[in-house]
Amino acid sequence: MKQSCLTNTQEHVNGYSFTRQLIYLSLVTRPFIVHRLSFTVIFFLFCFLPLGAQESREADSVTIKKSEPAIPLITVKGYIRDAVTQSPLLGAKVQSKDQLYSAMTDENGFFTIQIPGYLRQLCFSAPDYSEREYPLQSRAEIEAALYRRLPPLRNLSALTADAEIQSLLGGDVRAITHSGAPAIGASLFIRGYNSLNINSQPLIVLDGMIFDNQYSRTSLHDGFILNPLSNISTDDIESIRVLKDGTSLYGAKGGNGVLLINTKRGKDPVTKITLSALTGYNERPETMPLLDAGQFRIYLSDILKDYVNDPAYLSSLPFLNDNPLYYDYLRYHNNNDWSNDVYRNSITQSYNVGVSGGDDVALYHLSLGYTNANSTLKANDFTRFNARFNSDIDLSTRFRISFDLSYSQTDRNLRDDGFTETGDVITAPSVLALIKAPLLIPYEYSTSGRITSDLSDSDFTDISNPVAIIEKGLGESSQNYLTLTIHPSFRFTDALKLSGSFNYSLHSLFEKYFRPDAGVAEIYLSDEGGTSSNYVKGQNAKQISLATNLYLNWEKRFSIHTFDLTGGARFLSDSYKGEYGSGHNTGTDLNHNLSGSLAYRKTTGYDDTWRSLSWYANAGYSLYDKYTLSATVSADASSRFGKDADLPEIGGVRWGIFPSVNADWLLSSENFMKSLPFVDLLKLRLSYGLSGNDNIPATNVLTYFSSIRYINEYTGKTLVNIGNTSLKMETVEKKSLGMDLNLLDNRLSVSADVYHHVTSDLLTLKQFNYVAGKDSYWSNGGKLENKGYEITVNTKPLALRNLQWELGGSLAHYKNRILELPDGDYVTSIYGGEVKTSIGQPAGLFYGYQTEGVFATSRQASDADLKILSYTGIDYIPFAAGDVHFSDLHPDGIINEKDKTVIGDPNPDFTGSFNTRISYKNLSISALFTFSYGNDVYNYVRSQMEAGSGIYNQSSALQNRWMNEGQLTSIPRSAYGDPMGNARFSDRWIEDGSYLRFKSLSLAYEVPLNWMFLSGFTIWASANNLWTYSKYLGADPEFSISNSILYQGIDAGLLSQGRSYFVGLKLNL
Amino acid sequence: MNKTVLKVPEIIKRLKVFILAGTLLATACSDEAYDRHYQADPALVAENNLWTTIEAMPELSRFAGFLKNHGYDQLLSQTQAYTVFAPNNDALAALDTSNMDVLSELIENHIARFIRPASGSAADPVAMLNGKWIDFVKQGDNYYFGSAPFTVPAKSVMASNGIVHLLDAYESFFPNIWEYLAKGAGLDSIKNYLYAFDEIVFVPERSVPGSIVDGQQTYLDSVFVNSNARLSRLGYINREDSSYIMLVPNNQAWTEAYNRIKDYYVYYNKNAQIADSLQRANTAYALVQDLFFSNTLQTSPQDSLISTSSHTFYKPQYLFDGAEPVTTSNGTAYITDQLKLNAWESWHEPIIVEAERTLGRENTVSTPSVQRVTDLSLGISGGRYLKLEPTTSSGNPTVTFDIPNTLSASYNIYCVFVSEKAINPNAQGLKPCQVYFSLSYMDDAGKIVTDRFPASGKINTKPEQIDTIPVVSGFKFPTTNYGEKDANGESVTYVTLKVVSNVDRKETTEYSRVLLLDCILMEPQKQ
Repeated sequence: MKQSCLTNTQEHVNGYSFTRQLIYLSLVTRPFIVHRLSFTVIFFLFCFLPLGAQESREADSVTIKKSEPAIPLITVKGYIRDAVTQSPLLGAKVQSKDQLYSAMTDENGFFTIQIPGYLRQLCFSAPDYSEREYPLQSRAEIEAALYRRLPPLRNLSALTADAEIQSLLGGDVRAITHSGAPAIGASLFIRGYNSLNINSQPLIVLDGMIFDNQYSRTSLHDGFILNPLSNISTDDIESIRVLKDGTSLYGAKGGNGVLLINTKRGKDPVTKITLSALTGYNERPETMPLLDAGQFRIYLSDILKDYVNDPAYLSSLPFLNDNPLYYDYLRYHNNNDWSNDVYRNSITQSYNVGVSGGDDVALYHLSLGYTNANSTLKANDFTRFNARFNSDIDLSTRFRISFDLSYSQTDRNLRDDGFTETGDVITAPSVLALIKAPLLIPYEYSTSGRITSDLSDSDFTDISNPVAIIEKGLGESSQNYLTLTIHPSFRFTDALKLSGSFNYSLHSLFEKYFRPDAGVAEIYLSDEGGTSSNYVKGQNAKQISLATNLYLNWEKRFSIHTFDLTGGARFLSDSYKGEYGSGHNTGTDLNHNLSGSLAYRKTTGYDDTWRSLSWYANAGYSLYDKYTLSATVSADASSRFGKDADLPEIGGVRWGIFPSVNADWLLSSENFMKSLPFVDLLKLRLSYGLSGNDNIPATNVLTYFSSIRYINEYTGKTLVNIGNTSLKMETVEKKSLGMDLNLLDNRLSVSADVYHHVTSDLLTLKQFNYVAGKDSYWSNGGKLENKGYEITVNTKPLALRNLQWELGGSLAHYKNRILELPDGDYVTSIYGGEVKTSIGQPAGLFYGYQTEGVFATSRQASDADLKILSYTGIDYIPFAAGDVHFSDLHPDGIINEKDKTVIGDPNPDFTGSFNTRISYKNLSISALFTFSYGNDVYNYVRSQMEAGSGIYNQSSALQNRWMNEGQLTSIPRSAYGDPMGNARFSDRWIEDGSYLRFKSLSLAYEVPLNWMFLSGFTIWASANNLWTYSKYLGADPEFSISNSILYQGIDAGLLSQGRSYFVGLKLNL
Repeated sequence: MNKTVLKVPEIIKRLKVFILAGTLLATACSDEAYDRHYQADPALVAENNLWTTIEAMPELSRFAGFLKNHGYDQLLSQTQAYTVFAPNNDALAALDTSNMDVLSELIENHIARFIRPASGSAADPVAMLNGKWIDFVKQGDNYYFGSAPFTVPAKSVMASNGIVHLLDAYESFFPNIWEYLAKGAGLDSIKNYLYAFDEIVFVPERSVPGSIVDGQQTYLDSVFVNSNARLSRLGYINREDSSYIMLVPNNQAWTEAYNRIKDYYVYYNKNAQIADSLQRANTAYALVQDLFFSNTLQTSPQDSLISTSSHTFYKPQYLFDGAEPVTTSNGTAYITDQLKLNAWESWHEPIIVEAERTLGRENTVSTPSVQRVTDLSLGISGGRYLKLEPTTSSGNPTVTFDIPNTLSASYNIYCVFVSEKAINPNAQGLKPCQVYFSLSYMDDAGKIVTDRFPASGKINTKPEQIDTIPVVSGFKFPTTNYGEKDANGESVTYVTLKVVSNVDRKETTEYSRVLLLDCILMEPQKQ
């Protein structure tokens, strides 16, 4: 893809194609006095800078610019104009790609530059104009037009990097927001599913250092997915790039692709202060339409027919007692929409100040931020304080050191969200609001009939009071993230540089959960043989990561040849220690603490350490800057590899070897392209490489014991794991072919890639023989492939003096297929459904029963002549009118396991996004749409809310249930306990999850001010999730309950994303 | 350039229109699928409730009138599911309601909870609001509610809270046995007897407790239930979920039987009213205790019937000869003008007093011990017997047994002696016992009288076998002690039988003073 020809990046990643550079901030100048003041503040805030660094050193420029000796130069003349007004551009910069040769245009737009004859392209840039790469094609005189640059397209209201990625890398990263909770994060997939059973999320590289996003860690809170990435403020992010090819550089960690995130750094000695603030209003999200109290009572009083026979007994049930004189009449005669008690409109606010500047010696960037976002689900919020200080100090002309320090703290209030798989007592207010009888209200009535503030207890069906859980329950999840990085680099010669990175990061987690007694039924604990009135659990964890990366780079141009050699080593050491405790019956809801007096206590802990070492080398060669070839190899050793793994052994450890080759051909610089003057850039890219996935559970190569409390009384040790000493990483073989094409003075740019990935040695859980005493172990085996393509198109249909319109879009397609499985096909039970893993099929397929509607009449049912085996296992029960007509795929007249088939595929046919931007003078409007097409969803929520088999409240669709002979409907009859299995896992719950979402609409106005202290003032407003087109019947077609592949496309009812509106301002001082 | 500028607003305008139209179209498509799923389908979901549905149907105006008059317009307007089997006007045209409890016999006999569609070949019986279970079946092409056919072609109308099935006839009310007792002619005696036990009972465990006031628990919701102690003992003929055969004596039979039975229950009490009261109560209970036969308990009703009091009547047809069967909703009542129950199969039961039981037993000059036998084929009742060994070499043991629940009727009285030979075939040197018996009882003047049996002489037992020794045959007690209890609830009896070993010192070589007793047996003398 296109890479800026004028941007020096911190990472040394020559030879790799970056998909896109997203975010560039154009900071403006400001007076010197502010610079001094801010620097003083920084000094006191962070006393880590070497004292006097900026005072004592009379720094020379660190920019290495040197004229090539004795190279015959040619003269190129040209003219650069504004593409819209056709007027000449004054002061436009003309440079070679390596910036060794440059010139400026005069007041008439003309320039003359002396360059070596082997140069094949020049780069043009001018303030407020888009940069442009221009093929020379042996011409001595050229003319180019530049278009004005629009403000960078970005999601102004994004709180975390995930949201930015989703908005702006639609075609490159399939980012599926977990839920509507603030800063919850997203499941990220690059080029399909490159793993099946272990982590399939991309590697995150933050400022050049590998960032552990703790994908394998779990929260105490249902529906919440730990997301350390939320510690990073989007205001601090300079750029996010996707590394798809060439991930061999990251060896056994790059199999799922790599996200390169860079934070802002000082670029200019001039002090710049940026203040930004936003506030947002989040609308309550859509929720499933439910039966109202009257409809529910009709449903309830009908479904009990399979439960109670005695009409007199039914009449005595308090919720069916319609006598207004009945003492408890008021309790059971309400029409309550529980969503009103659980959801709310909420406010988001975020403030950030950034200061950058420095002098000839040191450059810095400091930022402080505060964000608070209340969820639309009551008792849920997110608060973040973040501080970051990045500095670059030139200690001498050869020795540069960068020092980065950041700290952030995120605190969340949480309650369980979504349906759980375990069938435990439901304590998620969002679920309770769905299932709880609308006859009830959360508070007690007084004897005089007034609603009091006393919380009601669990109801007649033991369903908890969600308001009690909101008010009396507790859920906390706090993270602290501290990172310290030092990047020294020493340039021995102009060509040879030694660089290093040393990073220390501390990531701590504190979580607490409390289920109150109030409003929750007493729960029988079958394992313990006792009851639980309330429940507390907590976990603390701390991860300390030490990372070093040391590499030597030699880059040299010999006339038409450019060589770029890099070799280095990376060492990572991580320690993750944590403890977990839980217990029941604190005695009072005011006591949330874990203590030794609790009943049925459980404790556990983890003390995981893992290390990895990677040697890597990269050799790049470029001819005429047109033909580029690079080769990379890395050798990785990891403590997660088994000592007997089928890998080369060197120095007593096993090494995974990951080679890759990349080749680029810049066709547009060929002379024969002269005949196509409208082609500004045409590049072909080809790559082949191996990378790996070493996310093997940390201790699975080890056989070890762990302490336990036997029958809650005696301490002892038990065998926890039988290690597989042959374990090794999964290996992903990646092949891709790509093309970048810019046409018509860059008014149209197209980037397209096709790829083929094959992951082998899949990590798979295998079953032990029962005599082992353990169930399963991890093993390598199996293979899967992903084929696909990605297309990104950007156009500028309209470019007028004051009005510009840009359109862009990206489309991605992948086809996932399992090639081999060590033990053949298998089915995994998830959320009451089944997911099939089958050779020749994509991962995650839904496997269940096919349906053909509902029998409207008895005749239809008898004609079909279908039946099920009764629970006695002897006799058969025929399907009748009102039952679901299941397809008898194994035609024996009996609906059973043999009739199951693949009923859905959660893998989309296409995903992507498109955007449009219109800029009129100082006003710009941008709109972003995201889409997914062809993906199926298992709507677990609907399977619960439309089962018609119990006393939970149901979706309003149950009004249309079959109730009388001849009714044509898709909703079968209700029957307590669902004796015919009408609600079984079938295509009734599989839906088309395709959607098109108007993700955001932004309006920004740059206030034309010319004040001494204010160089820029932008006010903006945006709206998110304004509209979604989907046939999906759930609350939100975009969700992800887990990063696990097999859980994709399963909607467990996490908080849906609602509309939100933001206003903000940005001041540049 | 200028030309282009002029076009811009138009372009934007056109685009806006396009975008807006596209958005609306897409929104419409999106919302349509969503709404179609979640909104009520007018073809399926009725707007009117059951009452307004019935009210709007002219062919149901008569039935609607009954509903309205009894407040069922309110019930059928509530948000609870019901099925109404609604007889049309023609069906009700000839209905005479003058002697009818319209509420329970017509309205509640045609309304059921839950939604019961007319679907499939057959359905389970339906529980109506009056508690009746009425068959709801399909025969041929038509559905029947009990014997009332659906309007042909079957017409069912959905309401928002249930379903209305239109009937061409109304379903007659079938009383259950309990109800029939109140309705049937000439059944006052038994009806009055059984209905007298009806009471309303407070059930604290089903009530909702409130605060404690002055040390007393109060209740926010006090739950009372109907209870009938007699029915709970003999059978719930007032419930629809069980099925009984009941022998129902009419007033004539009741009187005859009462007079016949009352002599079995002659009590003595200083207060003659108490004695009479006891006689009435127990006579009546004796009369009714074997009138109830559960249909579900009879394995071979032609050969024997077991009453709910667990008395078995063999070849029971004689009981029903001449009786008039009446079908009710929970079984059959046989109305008879003569109760043919034999006393010895019913109230005049054998009495067995196990010798090994300590309660109500006294012994002298002896040491009692309870012996257990493993061979049950020996016929020793309860598998245990009493061994009474003299405590002195010269003493003759005695043992006295309380005999409870004797009626003022004739008994053959036996004492069963156990043989050591029977227990231990190798036993040697066995000697018979030599005994006589003393029977004490209360005469009709309240005096305790003791008779010796035999009046003179002694009885020798047979040591080689288990020996049932007749004490006296056809002995008639002048009074009964049936059901008499003391303040502690313990049985009280004045009837005792003493077994006296009577072996002279000189006879010890010939007779044994060790008594091995299985039981005292009081056998009713058949009259």
